[in-house]
Amino acid sequence: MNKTEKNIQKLLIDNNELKGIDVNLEDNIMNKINSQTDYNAVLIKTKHKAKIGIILSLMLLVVYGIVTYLELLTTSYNGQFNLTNFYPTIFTTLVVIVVYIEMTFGVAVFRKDVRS
Amino acid sequence: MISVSDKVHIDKVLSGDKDAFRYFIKTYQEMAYSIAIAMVKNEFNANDVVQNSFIRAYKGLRTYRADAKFSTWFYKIVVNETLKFLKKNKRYKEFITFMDDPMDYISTFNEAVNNFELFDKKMEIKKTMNLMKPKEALLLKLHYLHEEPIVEIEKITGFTKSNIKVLLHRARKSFLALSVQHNNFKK
Repeated sequence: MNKTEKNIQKLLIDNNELKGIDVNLEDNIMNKINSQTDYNAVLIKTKHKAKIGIILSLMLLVVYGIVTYLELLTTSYNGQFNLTNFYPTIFTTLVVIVVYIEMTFGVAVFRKDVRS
Repeated sequence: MISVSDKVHIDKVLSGDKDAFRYFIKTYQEMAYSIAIAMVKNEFNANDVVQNSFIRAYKGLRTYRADAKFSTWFYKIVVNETLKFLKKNKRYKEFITFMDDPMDYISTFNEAVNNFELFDKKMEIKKTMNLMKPKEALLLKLHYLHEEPIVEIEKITGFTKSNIKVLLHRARKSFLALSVQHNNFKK
């Protein structure tokens, strides 16, 4: 470093302009950071939900396989169509759907505010 | 490469201790402000840039790789945020170029340095820095004030080595000439 460079450096070091730093800068930044969504927690929660969803899907698939194998869904109505014969099946399907959604997404389905 | 203290606090923040981020603000805010003010030339905007830089650093902390210095990684964010701000506000055009005449600014400047007690030094330096182009002012601060080697400046700014050398040469010339031409740095 030559003399001129040393002079420039000395001037910059001695006169570093820092008085303009906002005294509340640290608190302002921390306030913003604290109001940030914790994406890591959200990610963990979502992974957990996905895991439950996959397990439930597999369980239902197994049940469906057993039911189909044992021909439990075959309805005998002597050639005549009657909607009342399907009530148990419709009811069971609806229960399965509700249980599936409830188990996977928790109470969020029934509430507007899903964020914790 | 990374200091032990930086590493400890990064781990704390990543494991959910948001308050540990205060360490980074306390440690790096002055340097960040110094970079920002050199380029945006306005205290209010510089604080804004610094704030955005810290928030960006917090959000991207997981992407930080410990093979580089934390300061280099963070200053790169500050420089990018500042350039983004300047681009958005189109401030580049407002800076002046010094008169490139045959006058020997080096000896005039060096002799004037001895008389600096006579002037309000801080104001004069501030005026000169405000007149300088943002990139030149940035390089001057990184190289002389923060004593960053060219290799680190390359990482921080993304400029090539030769570009940095040219800009640094021009920044020195500009600093000397503007100090004499527009301020009281005279014999």
